[in-house]
Amino acid sequence: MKYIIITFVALFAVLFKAQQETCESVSFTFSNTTWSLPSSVKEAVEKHRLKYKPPGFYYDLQQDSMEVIVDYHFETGDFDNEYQPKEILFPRVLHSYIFRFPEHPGVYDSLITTIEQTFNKKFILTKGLKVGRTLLESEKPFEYYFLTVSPCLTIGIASSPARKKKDRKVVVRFMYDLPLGRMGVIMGNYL
Amino acid sequence: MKTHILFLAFLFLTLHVLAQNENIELDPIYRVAAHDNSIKRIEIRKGEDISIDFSVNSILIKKSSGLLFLSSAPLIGQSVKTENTMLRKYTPINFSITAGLAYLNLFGNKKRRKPGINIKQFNSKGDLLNSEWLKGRNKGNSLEFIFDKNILQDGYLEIAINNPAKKAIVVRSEINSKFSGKGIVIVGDSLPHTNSEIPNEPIDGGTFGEVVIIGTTENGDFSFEADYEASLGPSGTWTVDVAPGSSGDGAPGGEPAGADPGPEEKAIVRELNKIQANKCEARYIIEHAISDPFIGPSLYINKQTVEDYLDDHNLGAGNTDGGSVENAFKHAFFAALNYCSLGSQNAQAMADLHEICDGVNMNPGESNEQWFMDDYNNTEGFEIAHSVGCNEADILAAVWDEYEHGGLHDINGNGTYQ
Repeated sequence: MKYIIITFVALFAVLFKAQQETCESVSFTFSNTTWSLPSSVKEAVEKHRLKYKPPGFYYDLQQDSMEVIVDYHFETGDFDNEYQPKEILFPRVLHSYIFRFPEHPGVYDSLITTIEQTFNKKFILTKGLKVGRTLLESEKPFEYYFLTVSPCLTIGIASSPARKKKDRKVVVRFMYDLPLGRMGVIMGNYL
Repeated sequence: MKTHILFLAFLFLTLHVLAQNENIELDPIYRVAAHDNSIKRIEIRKGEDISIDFSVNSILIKKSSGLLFLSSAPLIGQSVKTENTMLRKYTPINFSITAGLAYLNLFGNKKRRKPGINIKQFNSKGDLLNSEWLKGRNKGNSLEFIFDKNILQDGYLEIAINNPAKKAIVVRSEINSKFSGKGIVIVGDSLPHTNSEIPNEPIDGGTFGEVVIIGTTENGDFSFEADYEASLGPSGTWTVDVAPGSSGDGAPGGEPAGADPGPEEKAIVRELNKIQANKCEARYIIEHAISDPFIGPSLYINKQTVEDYLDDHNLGAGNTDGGSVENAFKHAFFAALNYCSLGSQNAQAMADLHEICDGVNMNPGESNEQWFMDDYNNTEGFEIAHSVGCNEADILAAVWDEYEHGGLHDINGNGTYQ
């Protein structure tokens, strides 16, 4: 009997520890630059010299028309003031680096090839349900190509929706420590 | 022979389980109807805080216990109901052989099966927004379920109770509903009395430092002084006297009072900062606090709704980038919701004051492109609400249509998606 109790105690201890484990910080190289997650907006802006458009758009236009955009955990009221200074959202914590490209023939496929070779893993078509406060049941299903670098870092790739005829984009998004439902929501933004 | 017995046993067991699963009907006024398989619905409205407490017992109650609570009825089998809603007798037998076998408990599963409660939320057009199985917790001899939610759009709830147990259950429910006024409520006792610190958040470049209520009377007359420090646009201290049904003069002047602010003053400051109003918007809200007390709360709720919607529907850039094409959608949708929540006059006034405060253009920079874009899309939002009405689904459909077919303007003044 006592062995059973000891076994259960050990099992619960392991499970409890597993639940408490959080993601460690990660760094990756993309477009000859090293990017780190998590990071505060302030750190990202200062390190990568990002530009700003109010109320909360931090970005930079780099070579080959590649745009870098940061996405972060925002809070209620963060965007109410449409002309706030850039420092207001500096304490927010990043969850994504977004790399946005104009869509031309071959861009999407070459990005996939490059990223798969870099991380030595494959993109996998991933289906799930979005988690959002305003979504109808019919709007929840999603499917995107995700490459899981580690349990804490996922890369998604997507292009503009079909309804968008002009100024189409391809977006590569590095997402840090986000649940699948949330990744399904944010993958559709900035396209 | 052995095979046949096993087959029949399996068949009986399967039918036995199916026969005991049954949805029941729940009236909005706390009553279970045993023999109606339709699921009951409760109307809900935007901004409402609704909580429903369910208490489930697997015992028989011979008497209904009160008007405000649920009268009782079995889920399985027949009940005999008198005119005064008293249940006299319960016979737990359905009119089928399988249920008869169930009663004999030939293939009974000793494991206790718990009842479940499912609540589905629909919007006004009948689109399913959410489906949730409530988690029960044991409390004495009963099983308690609690549904508690802030409603973000008009619609209704459908409630179904499932009873897989062998015994009949009695469900009691109590519904509490209130409007969540997360904004300025100046008159009466409904102000949140708190000693929390005054937030010091910038509002269009400025901050409300102090609001002093000079006097409050029983009939709701009040006056106050508000001190606003702006780094962009006009600063000032002004005094407002407001009586029910009237508006104050709003004239700048006076001195900020030196006394420590009370809880009411803190609440006003907190709420003004929360909705990120500029000086003129805040003054307008306060001046109309008696005649239109929900301007502030409605703005707050609408902003939340719009921002959540954009983030969920691939329009997130509209929240962060004021010059993005998605921001056109945001302004049109927000303006349409405000038109319905505040009325056309208040919505138009708030939109105008957001751009121009005391003659000062609140849009920074020399270019007016952003102002023109916002103003145009706000106007489109007003016209959409005026033409399609205030059903949120209809508004959204119309805004999407305008957005995708050039009806809204981007930062260059061109039609969106053209």
